[in-house]
Amino acid sequence: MSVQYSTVQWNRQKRRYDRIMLVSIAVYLALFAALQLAFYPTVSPETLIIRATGTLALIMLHFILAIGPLSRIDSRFMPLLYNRRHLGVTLFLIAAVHGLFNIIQFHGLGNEDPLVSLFTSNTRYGSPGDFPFQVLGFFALLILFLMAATSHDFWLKNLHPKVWKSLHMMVYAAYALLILHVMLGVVQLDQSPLWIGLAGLSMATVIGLHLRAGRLEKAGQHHLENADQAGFFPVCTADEIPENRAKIALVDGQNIAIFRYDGKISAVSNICRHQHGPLGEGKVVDGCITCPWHGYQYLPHNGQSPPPYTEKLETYDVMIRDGMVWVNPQPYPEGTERPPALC
Amino acid sequence: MTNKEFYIGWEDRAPAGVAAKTRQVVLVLVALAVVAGAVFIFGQRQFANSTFELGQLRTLEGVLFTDPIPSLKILAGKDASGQNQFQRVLLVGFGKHSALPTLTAIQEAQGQEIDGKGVRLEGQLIYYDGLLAMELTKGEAAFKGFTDANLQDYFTLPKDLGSAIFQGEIMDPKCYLGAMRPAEGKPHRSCAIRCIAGGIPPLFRSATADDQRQYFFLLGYDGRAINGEIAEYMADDILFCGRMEKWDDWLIVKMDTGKGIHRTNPWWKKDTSIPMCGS
Repeated sequence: MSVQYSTVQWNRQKRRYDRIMLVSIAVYLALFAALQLAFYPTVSPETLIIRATGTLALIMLHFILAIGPLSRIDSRFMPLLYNRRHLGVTLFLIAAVHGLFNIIQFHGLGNEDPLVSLFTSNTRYGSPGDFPFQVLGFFALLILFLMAATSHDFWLKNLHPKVWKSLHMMVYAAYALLILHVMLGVVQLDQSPLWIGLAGLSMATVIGLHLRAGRLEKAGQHHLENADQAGFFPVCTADEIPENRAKIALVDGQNIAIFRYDGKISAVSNICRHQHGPLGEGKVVDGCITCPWHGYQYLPHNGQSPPPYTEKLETYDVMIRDGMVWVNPQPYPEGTERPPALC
Repeated sequence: MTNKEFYIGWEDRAPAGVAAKTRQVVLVLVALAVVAGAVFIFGQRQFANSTFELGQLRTLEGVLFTDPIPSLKILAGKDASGQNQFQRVLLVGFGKHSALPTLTAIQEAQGQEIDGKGVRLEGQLIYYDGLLAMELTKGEAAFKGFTDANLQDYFTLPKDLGSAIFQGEIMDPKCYLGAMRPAEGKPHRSCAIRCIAGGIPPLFRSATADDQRQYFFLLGYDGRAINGEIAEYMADDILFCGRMEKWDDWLIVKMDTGKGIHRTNPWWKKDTSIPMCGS
């Protein structure tokens, strides 16, 4: 949470995250280089760098894509999600080294500008088999650059969270481009069943995790029906909501998190103002609804972040009738105080 | 949520159970990454044992020929009957460029013809599979003086070996002989096209099923360079008709582009119309 921008809002866990990430990357690169030189001593230094950074970037992208659904499946993966943007920026830097060395190696020192050569040397754009695979890698790198460049909360706020989120969902386009880049490059050259199997397994893992997380998310949502005359929909009994936790309700296009805390029930938007995290999967901590993704906090009865913070959520009317929790999906403007229902 | 602990990133410490799980997960992920990297390393193709003596300048003496392909013909020893044996060293420029602009600059600086003269040239050697090339890395400064080598001692007429059908891959010799490893197939196509567009003479590699390789420099049927016409076919498996000549230790094929260049691989673009050579 923030009231002013700083380059990085460092805290102990972010520092640990980055330290572990950088050490892991160093270990990977060192082991890759050592094994490559030990078993393939004739590899050229440029090829070694290109392959080490290319494989590392691909592995990191798989991790990054897996972290989201893994955190949905098991909340103990949340620490990996917390500082994922540093992982993403680092991925871009590693992919950029890969791209830069490729452009220098394959397109530099010639009779054409290297960037022009990238697009004009192999021009078989009409052939799926001969398609210039390096161009696919270039566009994937461009997307990763846009994501890295706009990763700071400054851009999140100024681009508007919806635009920012859409931009960052392009990571899936980058993933598709990179898979094609690999399939039409090294896999097509070697035609090794090992590469084809590995590529299939990694894609199946990423897709499978997303499908499973999607099913779990859907299972946790209540699609409400049968409103009463006042426009209230029945959700569940009050006892079904664990203390300091929430039920998520979908009705009339509204995504609502209904929290139980201190003998009270309050309803707010399920969408965190920071990165659209699922507030209903969060917890009430120290009297505040706390987002599971990055710990942004809101007061349950008015949807406002505690001062000095300024984020605000829409709020909703709730009531309890015969032990049943009812919610009215007509949202109040962000930060409007609504009296909690007592249970 | 599957557990009662709740992780908040900005808190000083993660809950004990979450922290323990994270440690396990990180170790597993790093191990997975290393295993994936190792699988990649052990699954990749072996690299060619080619050499580019990067950073090591050497001086060679011989007679310079710019036609049909820029080369330095050097004395490689004597055969059993005491006859001189020669080797042609392909000359290439820095980067993805022909040696011709450098040789022209040297000629202008010397104020006299250098073609057919004994010269001393300095550059970086590139070699593989019996072929030798020299990059004139320092441009005009590659020229280290004239020698007293006599053109008559070095001049031999090419031998006509007749027409044949050739099947194989066109590659750029600078990369293939050592400047890049690997330097063949689709991943290298863009680079090969760039080298050929820069004027580096194309090299054709023909191989038998058991990888017995033979190399030919490619020229047009009239002996001119055909870099522009064949750039489209770089890194493809092709079949064409041509006339073969032996120039000392080099084989040169003069491609009959009038009979077409036929792609033979992959299957979906295989052209089965075999050219009739000599007709």
